[in-house]
Amino acid sequence: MKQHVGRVGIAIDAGIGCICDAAKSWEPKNGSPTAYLRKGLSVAKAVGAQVMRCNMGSRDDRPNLERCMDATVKALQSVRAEALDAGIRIAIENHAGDMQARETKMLIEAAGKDFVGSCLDSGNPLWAVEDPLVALETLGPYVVTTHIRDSAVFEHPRGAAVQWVALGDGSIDFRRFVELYQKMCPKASMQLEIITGIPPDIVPYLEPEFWKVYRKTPAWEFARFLKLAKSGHPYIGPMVIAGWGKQTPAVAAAFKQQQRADLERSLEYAKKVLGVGVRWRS
Amino acid sequence: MEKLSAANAAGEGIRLGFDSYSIRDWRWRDIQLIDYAASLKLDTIQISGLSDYESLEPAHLAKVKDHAERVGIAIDAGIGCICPLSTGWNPKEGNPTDHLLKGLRVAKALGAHSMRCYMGGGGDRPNLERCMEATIQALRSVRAQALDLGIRIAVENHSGDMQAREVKTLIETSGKDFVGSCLDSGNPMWVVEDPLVALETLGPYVVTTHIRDSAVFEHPRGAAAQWVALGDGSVNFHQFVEVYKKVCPRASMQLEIITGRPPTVLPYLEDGFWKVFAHTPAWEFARFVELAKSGHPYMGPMVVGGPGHQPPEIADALKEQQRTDLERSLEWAKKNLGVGVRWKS
Repeated sequence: MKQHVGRVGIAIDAGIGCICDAAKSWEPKNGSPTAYLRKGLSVAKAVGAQVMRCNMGSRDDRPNLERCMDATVKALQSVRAEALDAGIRIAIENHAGDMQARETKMLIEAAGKDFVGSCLDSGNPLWAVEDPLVALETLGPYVVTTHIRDSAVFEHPRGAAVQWVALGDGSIDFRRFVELYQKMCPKASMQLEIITGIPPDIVPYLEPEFWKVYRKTPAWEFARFLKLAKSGHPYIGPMVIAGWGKQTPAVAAAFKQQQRADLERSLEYAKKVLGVGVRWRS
Repeated sequence: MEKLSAANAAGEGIRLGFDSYSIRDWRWRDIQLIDYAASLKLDTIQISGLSDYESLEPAHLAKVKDHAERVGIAIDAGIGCICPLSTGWNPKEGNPTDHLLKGLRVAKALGAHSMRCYMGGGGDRPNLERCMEATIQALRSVRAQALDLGIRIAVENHSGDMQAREVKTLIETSGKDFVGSCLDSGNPMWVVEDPLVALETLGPYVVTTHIRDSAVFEHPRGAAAQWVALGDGSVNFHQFVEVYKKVCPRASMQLEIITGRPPTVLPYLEDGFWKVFAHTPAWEFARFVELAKSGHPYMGPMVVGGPGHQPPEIADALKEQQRTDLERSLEWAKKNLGVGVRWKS
């Protein structure tokens, strides 16, 4: 595989999944976090990758955030020597609402910034009432790889609602995002992770209960999210929208087709509108 | 004497009165103000500044005290700014200790059990820590005298100077045995704070109050708020009084009605706004956002003056409005909130 990518001129960022054994999404089949991380590092090394993405958990883990962060820091520190020897940076993602950028930054610094970095996801901050620009500003110096997608953000009677959309279809100012990106993490690869077809997700910040898992969020950060929601509107273009579970065959087929169509038009937007990418110009 | 204290006696309802600032343009002084309160069947009054007296001579103050007792009005006393670093500090007062001692002497002469004062205004927020420290120092300098006289110094959350959490810190650092809160329900607006949050936070320390309503609503730059007569605004005062009865049932409810001013924009969607609120927890701010989202602009009649000196016609209309709005607010408080004691008998 390493030989093949060398031939076709594609660099690989590697990745594994959840590395926190206190998280709800931990997969016991992976043995222990250390064994799982080692397996990922050996694959990353074998394909010539210099970064390996992984994640801690999801928003369901926020009531248990400190324990999860401690367990994740411990798991990462257990493979420090191997990662440094292999020359691979472990890129922790701000994943599915598990952490806000400030928290991810703390985790990176506690684990060791010499071998841990950020896989910055621009869609997940919305699930954690965070403006993706705030996430980029916070994590910028640590970003080594990314998951980039757009989101339609808008006000809702319970607070706000968010729907992931193809690049250019949403509320995020990606021109500004790229400008900042070029300043803060120009060496990080911009990997689009386009996820469409999911209905809008409500962020019920007007309900006091919601804030139980965000006690330390500074108001100024939240205000940036508010500004985004206030300036946005729902996505009103065509989209096959399904739920998370199993789909009927017809929906599944449409969904599959949409995944590729939306990824391709997003890549086109990134190239032509944002001017990112190198090879397509030559 | 005890029955004339502005603090509510156990088992009684919340005592109702007003802050003399509500009708400032009438330029009434002590006995006139007290008689006016008695004519409205009120229980108490807060004479919130030293300029509201004909004289500060002991003989005159004794006369005021006797008169108040005769007509059955309890007095909460008050002075102004006590922080020498604040933009609101008046150097003519000498130093904060002298100013506080003067106020305490007047309060004692009137038989008051509380004396309202404040730190500063919104303009002091860039210098908040230094102002709070200076205010604490000023308060501590008169601790022995306040305790000896049996007077609680009630620091107001004033004109956007502090959020309730910050006032609480100031009270606790100064000494809660002699410092309490003069809870203002309109000023939290200027610091993007829900008045209910202010009450919940300061409740155990509240000894006197400034109560008014506000119309709060969303605005392209964040939110806007306008002070209005009680019942005309967005604040849920039924809920407010329910909490009040639980957390500070002995504090007198002094209405401070301020109308005639245009809405103020609170540009919380602009980054610069947050420079002076860097430590505000998001959950508190979200309560304010909820209030703004559920509110709407005041749509009733109101004489709204501009900044600075008014033309005589506008000034007269504003003066009349002060009294009208105070009286209809008191009526609303009695009939809708069930507060006040004397009017029921």
